[in-house]
Amino acid sequence: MNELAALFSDSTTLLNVFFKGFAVLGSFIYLLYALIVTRQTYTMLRAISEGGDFWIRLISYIQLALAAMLLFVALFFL
Amino acid sequence: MQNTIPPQGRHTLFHAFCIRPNCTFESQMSGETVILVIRAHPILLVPWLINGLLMLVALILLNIYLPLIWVMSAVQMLFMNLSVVVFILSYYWFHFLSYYFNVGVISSRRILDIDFSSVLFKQVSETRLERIEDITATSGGYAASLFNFGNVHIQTAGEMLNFEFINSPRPGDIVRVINELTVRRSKELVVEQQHHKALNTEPPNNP
Repeated sequence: MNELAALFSDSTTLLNVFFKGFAVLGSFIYLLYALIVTRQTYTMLRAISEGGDFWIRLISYIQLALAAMLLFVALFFL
Repeated sequence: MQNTIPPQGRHTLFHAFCIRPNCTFESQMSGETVILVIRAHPILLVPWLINGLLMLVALILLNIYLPLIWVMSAVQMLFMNLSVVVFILSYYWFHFLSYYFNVGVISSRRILDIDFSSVLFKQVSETRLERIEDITATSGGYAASLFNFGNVHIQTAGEMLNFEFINSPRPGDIVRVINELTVRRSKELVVEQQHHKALNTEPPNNP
């Protein structure tokens, strides 16, 4: 209880808590978004394919990796 | 009639106007070839390229002025920069996907309009060339006149769906190609009918 009270004792700590909470939530939502876009990219490539499929898939996976990295940083480093 | 479709493949305007591309689509039939693939004119990509750059400028300003009102740790600063850069890259990627996959396909037999609005919603409309009744190309405004893009409206028979290729490059050429293909297809159908009449067989039901 004392630890919880100490957490909210000064504005800087409070801001840091909010920053972390916001970062984790934002990163998680972004990861979901990246997953949906990657899945949707596959559907799109089935609908029409013009030769650049590999690069489109690769960039989708890079986006997914970046989203996962953001969530990892938000969870363990902030 | 003058042949307006070159026999060899050609890509112009950042793949916005591709003649005989090496392209396949989901419902493609055997013997059906893609003649033209149309996307929006690439000049329409400029506003979101600028938006991305403005976001980058905003990030730089944030790096200069935010520490004056809130002392952030190095990790927080790094995370903020990283997330904004990732957001900008995603913004570009999202718009690129919307551009790349909103496409009109004109094949030797059909016209398809493939739409992925907001990347999440997929709509594929198609009509046979022989069902086309009227094609109109409209172009208006300074940018459209300068860069030669406009809308192509395709009206089909009866209660069927009407097609619209918005902000397509070279709308006049698109109309010419569709007209030529429609004439070719009509001739093919007449020959097919005569052939089946001579053999006294039923013509196959064209999909």
